Amino acid sequence: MTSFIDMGGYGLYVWLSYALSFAFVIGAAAHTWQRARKHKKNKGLKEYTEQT
Amino acid sequence: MMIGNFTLCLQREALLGRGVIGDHLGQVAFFVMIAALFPLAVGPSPDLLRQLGPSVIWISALLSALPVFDRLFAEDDRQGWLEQVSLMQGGLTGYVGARLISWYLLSVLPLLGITPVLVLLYDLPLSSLKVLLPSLAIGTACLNLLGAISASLTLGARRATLLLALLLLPLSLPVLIFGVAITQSYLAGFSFAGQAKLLGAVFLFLLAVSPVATIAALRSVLEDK
Amino acid sequence: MTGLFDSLANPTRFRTVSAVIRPFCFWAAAIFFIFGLYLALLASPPDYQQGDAVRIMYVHVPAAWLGLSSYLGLGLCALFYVVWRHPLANIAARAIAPIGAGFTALTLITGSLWGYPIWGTWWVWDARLTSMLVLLFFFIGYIALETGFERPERGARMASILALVGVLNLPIVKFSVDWWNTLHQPASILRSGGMAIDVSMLWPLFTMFAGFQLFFIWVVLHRMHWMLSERRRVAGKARAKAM
Repeated sequence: MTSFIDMGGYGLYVWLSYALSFAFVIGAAAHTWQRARKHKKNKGLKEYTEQT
Repeated sequence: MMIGNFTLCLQREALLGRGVIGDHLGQVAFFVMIAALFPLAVGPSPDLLRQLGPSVIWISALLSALPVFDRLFAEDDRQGWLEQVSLMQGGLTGYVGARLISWYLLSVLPLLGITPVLVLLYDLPLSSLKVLLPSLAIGTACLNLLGAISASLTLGARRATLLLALLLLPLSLPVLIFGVAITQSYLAGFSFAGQAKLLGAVFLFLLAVSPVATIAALRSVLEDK
Repeated sequence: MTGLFDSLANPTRFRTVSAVIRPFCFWAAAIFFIFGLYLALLASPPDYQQGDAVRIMYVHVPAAWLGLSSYLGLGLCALFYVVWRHPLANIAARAIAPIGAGFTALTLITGSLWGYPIWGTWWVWDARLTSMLVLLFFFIGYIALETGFERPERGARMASILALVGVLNLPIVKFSVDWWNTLHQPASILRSGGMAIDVSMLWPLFTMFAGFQLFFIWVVLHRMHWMLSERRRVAGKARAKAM
């Protein structure tokens, strides 16, 4: 287990890379969801999904 | 018809040129000042300066051109000349062509004139001028073509000058890279023919692309009015 | 081909189509990520020379691919907007730009994190990283221009022209950076990705790439969705005011 985290001595760099990558992915997703929710709230769900 | 409009615009440029020469002389002063900053920052060691010389001269040429580019079309836009000229058949093409030619002559001639002084400041051999001056002439032409694109795109933008610089600098990298390489190769004793051809190719490419993009952007500006 | 884009020009039809594609992309991305992470972090072997640091490649390289391809996508949207006035083209471009910029920045950061333990320095002016840096500048310029006008339509049009100019210039810039790099080759030859890629490394690479690509499509479609709503809402307000 510790060797998994340690990554042959490169652990800090490997985990930091993956953490930042997925922070970006999750952050972008969260931001998009939040904006979409705000619009649904403003227009009403029916209108949001059906309107052109 | 288009030639007629072009000549008309050229005449107008010639008449107005005497008024705006101050802008371009300011540009030259800026050019010298930037080049003078480097030795003050890196130290007066002649070996280091000789190494940096060509790069500094090119970077100074690039940076000194930035603050004045937003004047390329702004005055004419504000005075309504852009609208007038676009109503003529082929007017915008003639206008852009005339503008670029006059801007080039007004900016490059003083610049080339002062370059020998910089060559002396950086202890470069005067013989390098026979390579430096032509390459700067073409490089400045390239930068002007890029400046036309950037100026027309940022016309009327908030913080236009800053935006213009932001757009222009990444686009001007090939000009910088190949331009500097010509003089550096010459000074190192190598052939600079390849680099010269590359710079020439970039120039021809920009000669084709720039007017199209500039005119498209100017039309876009006029559509809004 | 144009028929396909014409059919998608209708915002309603776009919404219906994207409503189907989006969940598919989301779940497919999730699956690819799960498998990708397993392959990248556990199931693939460490490199003969770089050890486990090579695992950074499995996020760094897909990020680079996405950064570059999203800029090209931006150029394509710009083409559709400038030439054919496709109504969704500039919405797509606005949706893509920050995501593409983000992936490009991610490429640079993961590149640094990869470079430091391997080369001993946080940054190296090798051709690839330098080109990515310039690409980031291209993105920043695009976004700055797009948002730099009082009127959004003006920004959209100007940014489209810029994107077209940028896409044409990009090969030239890339070439000049490569050329510059070979000219100034440092004394120690840096093996920036010069290692031979083993088959066992291709699987995690492609799986992670698929995950990121599907995520990209999902997030762009989702962004376009609320941007269209926004545009509708603003237009509706303007109409109401005019009446």
